[in-house]
Amino acid sequence: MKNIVPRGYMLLKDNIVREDNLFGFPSKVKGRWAEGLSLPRKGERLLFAGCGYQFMSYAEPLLEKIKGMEDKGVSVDRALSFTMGLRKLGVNVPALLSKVSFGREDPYTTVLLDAVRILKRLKEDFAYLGEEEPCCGSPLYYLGFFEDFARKAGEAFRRFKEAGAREIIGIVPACTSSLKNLHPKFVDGYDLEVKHFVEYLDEAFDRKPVKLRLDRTVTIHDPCQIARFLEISDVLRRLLSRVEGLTVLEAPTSREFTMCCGGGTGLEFTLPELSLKIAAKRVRELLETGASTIVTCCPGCLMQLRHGAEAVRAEVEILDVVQLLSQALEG
Amino acid sequence: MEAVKSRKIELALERAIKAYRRNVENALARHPHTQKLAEEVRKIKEESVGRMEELVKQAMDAISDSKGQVYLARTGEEALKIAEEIVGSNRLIVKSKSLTCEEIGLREHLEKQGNRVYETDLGELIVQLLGIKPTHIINPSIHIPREDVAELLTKVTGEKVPPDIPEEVEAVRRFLREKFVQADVGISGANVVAANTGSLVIIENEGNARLSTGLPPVHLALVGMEKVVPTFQDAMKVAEVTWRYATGPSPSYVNIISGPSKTADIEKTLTYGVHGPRELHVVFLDNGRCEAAKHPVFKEALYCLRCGCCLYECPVFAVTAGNFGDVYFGGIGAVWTAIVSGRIYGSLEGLARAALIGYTCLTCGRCRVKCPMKIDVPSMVVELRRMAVEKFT
Repeated sequence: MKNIVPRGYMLLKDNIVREDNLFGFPSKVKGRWAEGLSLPRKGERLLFAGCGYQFMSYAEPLLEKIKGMEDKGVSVDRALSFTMGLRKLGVNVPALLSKVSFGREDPYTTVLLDAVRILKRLKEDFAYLGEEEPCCGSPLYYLGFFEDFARKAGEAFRRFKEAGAREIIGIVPACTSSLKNLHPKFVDGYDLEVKHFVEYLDEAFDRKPVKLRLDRTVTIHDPCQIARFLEISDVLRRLLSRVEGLTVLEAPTSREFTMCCGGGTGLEFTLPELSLKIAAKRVRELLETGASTIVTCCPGCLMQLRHGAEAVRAEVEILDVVQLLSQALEG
Repeated sequence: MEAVKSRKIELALERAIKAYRRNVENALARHPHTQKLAEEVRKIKEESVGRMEELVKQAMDAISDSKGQVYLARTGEEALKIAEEIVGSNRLIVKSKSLTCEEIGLREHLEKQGNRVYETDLGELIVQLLGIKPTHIINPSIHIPREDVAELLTKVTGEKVPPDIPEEVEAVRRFLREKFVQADVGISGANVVAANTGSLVIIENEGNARLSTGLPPVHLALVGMEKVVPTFQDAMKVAEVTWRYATGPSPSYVNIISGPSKTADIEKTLTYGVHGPRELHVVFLDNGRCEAAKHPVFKEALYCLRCGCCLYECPVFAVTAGNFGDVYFGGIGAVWTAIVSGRIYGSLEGLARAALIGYTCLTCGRCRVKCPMKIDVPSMVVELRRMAVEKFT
């Protein structure tokens, strides 16, 4: 019996194993958002940017392709089985790379730029590995590729150590949860302290109080990994409570009871229609709070919620917590 | 996925999920001790699954002492054979809802032997008459609107049944009443079994389980081995937590059956089969459970009370219902499919079927926090996928 593992998931696995990132793009793309920021490559504290924020703008056209296939009545699974690899999928990689903008106009890398801005403003020391940043391999674990995951985890640990790291600040919840909870189970002598950006910032604001102000009414979408795996929904709220003028309207399905955006495990890669339906449902649920801004802190959730909002034709602003805090710092 | 396209299913589910959440919230507010009790029940289940074979033997001895007849079936086929011998053919059978019966396809099997079998749970009957698959373990027909039910009942009973829920229920009552009285055999499962007294506990609201297990001269019960707990008191705790998360504050009926009907009122001479069944047959089913009990990750699946709570709270289930699963639904359903459809290590086909369901799980962990037993479904689904990678790549 063959082909039990859905092709979309095999594609994710091959991308990570071959190209060291979720979407199979050349690794040199990783650090593009940070060009000109002159961030140190070595240090005790590393900012771990993760595949999601760094690649999502490149990955969206790829996902559109996958969705398009399902719409035409070709099962995604079958389509992917004979079109493994980006080029075969009809994605012209060099053309895509030159076309996609990043930075302020891009909803994903702008989050990273805001994160750097906040850290610099607080005069916190940190390094960033750029194109040397390893993929945490988290999807390999969730898809059951334990051997590949163990290899990735070992490689990541080695690169962190070479950079002199003792502490990792993750910004993608799934990567952070993987580096914090899963890597120690697969790597001997794992001794890195791992925190999510939200936790780190909350502590940093304690040490260095700053004025945060933003007049806005928002509702929070807790990413699954934040709520149920890292279990820091309370920290996220404490952090947001520092912002004057901010009103938070809670959905009944929040904190540890938060509803998945439909992107868990990468479902959008195998059953995009189902995944989108779940996203649309989640957006409707969040808008029932009366807020017209949704705040979250995960690149996967950001994308799913954006697509969900389009599907239900909702006028809604979707912000990452980091973007919101960056705006509040100016305000 | 066809189910995703059906807005009808989604709407019916949306209503059902809202109503369910309200019910359970009210029930937990009225009985705030439930959460602590659930923690206690988790410990009871952990202990019971650890001693499963021993406890089943104890329960079998206790039922035998009360003149019930007991069987231990290692596979679904064995259980079907036993049931076939007890029931025979050309019989009229009334059946109350049981997932374990569905697991081995008992109804279909007995029908093939030339028996007439009626599901007596309303939702299950609707699903049976429509000839489709149930979509939820507690409410098998949550996706079917009243108009469709009226049309169906009109066809089946020959009387004009309007699309009015009380009238529909009345029509079903009239339709099934004579079946209960005339039935040769009643079939049920059990929600929990006490090893020390051999008591089967069956929770219900409609009264169909009372009639199915009380009126016919023969009662056949099929019980998964994982349902047995050490004592009667333990069984009551399991039952209370189960019904609170399944239906609400308290069910209309809790049936407790430890043996056939009996009397000694004439000359102190014990005689069996007064108003209730003369014979009680209890078949305990292994079908992969003993193997699962020894598995470091999958043993947690055996703690499942089948309250259905996780399904109402699952983001995928909310848009796909019974299409997310086989006999057992949702993420935990994927694991149960592996356990029962070919034994965990035994059959590749079973594993493949289970894995395919497992790939639809988001591993979002919402079921884990909602589950009264706090069953770690994401970890089990990941283990299932790990096994699939090992065997199929």
